[in-house]
Amino acid sequence: MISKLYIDEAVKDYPAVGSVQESLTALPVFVVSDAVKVHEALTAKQDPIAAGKRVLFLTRNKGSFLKKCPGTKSYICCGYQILHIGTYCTMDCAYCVLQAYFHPPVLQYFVNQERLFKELDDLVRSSIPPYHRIGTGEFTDSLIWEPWTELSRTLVPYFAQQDRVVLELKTKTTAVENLRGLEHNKKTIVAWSLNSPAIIRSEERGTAGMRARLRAAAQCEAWGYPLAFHFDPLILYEGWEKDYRRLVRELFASVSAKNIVWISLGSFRFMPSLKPIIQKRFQKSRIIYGEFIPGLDGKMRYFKPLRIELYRKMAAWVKELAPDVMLYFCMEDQEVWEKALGFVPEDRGGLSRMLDESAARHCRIVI
Amino acid sequence: MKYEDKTISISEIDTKDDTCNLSFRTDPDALIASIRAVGLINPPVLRQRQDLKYQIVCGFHRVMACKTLGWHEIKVRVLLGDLSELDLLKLAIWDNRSHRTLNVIEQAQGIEKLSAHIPFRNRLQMLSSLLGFPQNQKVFEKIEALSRLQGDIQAGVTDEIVSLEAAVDLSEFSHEDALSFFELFKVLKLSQNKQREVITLAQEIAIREDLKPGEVLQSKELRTILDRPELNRNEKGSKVRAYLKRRRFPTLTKAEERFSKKLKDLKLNERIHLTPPPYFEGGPYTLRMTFRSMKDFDERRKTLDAMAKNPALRRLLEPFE
Ligand code: SF4
Repeated sequence: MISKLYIDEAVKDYPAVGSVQESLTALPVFVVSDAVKVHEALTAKQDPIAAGKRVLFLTRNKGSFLKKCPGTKSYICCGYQILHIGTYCTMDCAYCVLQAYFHPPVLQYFVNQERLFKELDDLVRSSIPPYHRIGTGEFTDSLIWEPWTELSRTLVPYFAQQDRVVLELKTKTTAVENLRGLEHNKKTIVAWSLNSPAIIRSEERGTAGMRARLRAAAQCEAWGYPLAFHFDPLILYEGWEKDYRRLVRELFASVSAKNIVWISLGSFRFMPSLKPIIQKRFQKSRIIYGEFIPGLDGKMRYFKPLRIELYRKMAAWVKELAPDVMLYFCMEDQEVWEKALGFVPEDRGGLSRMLDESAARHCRIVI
Repeated sequence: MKYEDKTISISEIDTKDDTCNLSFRTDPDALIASIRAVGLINPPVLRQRQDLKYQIVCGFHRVMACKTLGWHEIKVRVLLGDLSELDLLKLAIWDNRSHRTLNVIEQAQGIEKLSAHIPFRNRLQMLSSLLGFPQNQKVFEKIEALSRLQGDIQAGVTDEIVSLEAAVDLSEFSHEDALSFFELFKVLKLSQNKQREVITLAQEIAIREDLKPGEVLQSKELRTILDRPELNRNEKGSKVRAYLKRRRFPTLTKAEERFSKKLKDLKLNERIHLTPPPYFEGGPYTLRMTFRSMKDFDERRKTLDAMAKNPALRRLLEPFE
């Protein structure tokens, strides 16, 4: 629940600020000269990470709105582009990297969207750089902004008018109401991160339940949107096999495989600096006590044979019900691909190409 | 500060009232010897309580030494006026600091005693200057944590049986669990990093297996290592750490053991070393060879040729099969 609204003095006259204020009329408003004032207010709190979720800071993005996904060379990256609409999240997942990524993390929304659309115009018009997939759900959840902003109502029709790039809105919410009736032309993929009810209950505070997410997905499917799902982070715990198998079944009982553009599998990995944060903020969480080893990118990951076993089983359960669905791994190496799926992306033109082709098939983009 | 010099009966002093006592484990014998030789040079500073008994503010050990020497009376300085507990504590601290620096345990006790009297917002600044530690929140938190430890473990910190960092870790445990670690460290005398490694491993095993950390340390395997008379302290330390690592990372340890076994099948000699990528995660294998002469080199080459033809090499490169 947002309890304070901070407005960067430099943006106070932007139209988007007015509309956010209209939907948050009851909140105390503080106009500040810069972000430092907000950071100071948060760092004084006992749990600044939680406090950062309860304030909304309207400001401008001084950097680029389009960013390359921070993949590393050591693992196969999907070549995604991030549309940097804002940062942080109102939900509170134990494993959320954003807790350790920003110092301190603040829920901030960028209102200088004329620049955002300028960058999108450039991208859509030119074929250089040749990106075909963009998502807003990297530094935030794509749909938490729905109650206060017109973001998806603006972005979805924008992408509908072109045929080069798809937009992926990735969420753990059910805030899809604003997507109803929009002209999307299949250029917006609505995606959910999925996990078992046990993990949602213990590790994903404030997120929608598994069935609620699937109901929202089915609703979007009914509105004609292409869908995507991310089984990420997959966590090894007692009973994971039974739970994840059931989750896969529930997914395909809720939506049709033919409307799924892609499904990703990613096992839990974390920056070492996240461990003490989880220990402090989520004292009952056990997710960091698996058999983790330092990966080639410095993040902690499950020891490789454990990942391979997890992926092999997940892939088999998915393929059993949806043999043709585009299934990929988020940040894994050739050995894992080979052992869990029986091929490496290079053999099929590379992961980026495979995803672009799937987007072309489902969303009718030209690649 | 006003005071009055007096001679009073030692029985009028409440020696159990340790409100202002900060000194942790000083050597009483030296003080007794000194008083016996030259008498009491500095009179202790006391305050008279409402029940008319005297409370010691400065000079706990002096009073106790005089008592041990069988004195019945003692010259003291009695504070006059209405002094707050904070004033008395400050006086006690400055008295101690006038002739020595406080050790971390004394600083921890000081934090515990003073915190209730100092507003939260000034706490770090005031306590660091009073007790003599750096004005840094992290340092403050570490020292504060030590006040939660039992006396035995606090003594272990000043005796360097438990490192400061490890003691801070132990302050998060129950007294019983913390004592189990302390007993182990007494036997093994591990470095700071190794103590912390043992704490982390045992704690994480406990979480994984739904046990208490102390129960992990009571396991039969670990006790057997400690009971082996032929092992010295370092060997026991290594074996205890290896045991805990095996239990914490069972799949990784098995893979390492399998690799070592397969490596033996390659029959390499001590001049050729094959090392797997760290954690078998996918980096390169490393082959290291040493030689002194062309003759040596030729011999190594032959060993490498044989190694290349050995099917064991293929098996070795598949550590998860
Ligand atoms: S929903 Fe995503 S962004 Fe939000 S807290 Fe969870 S992991 Fe972080």
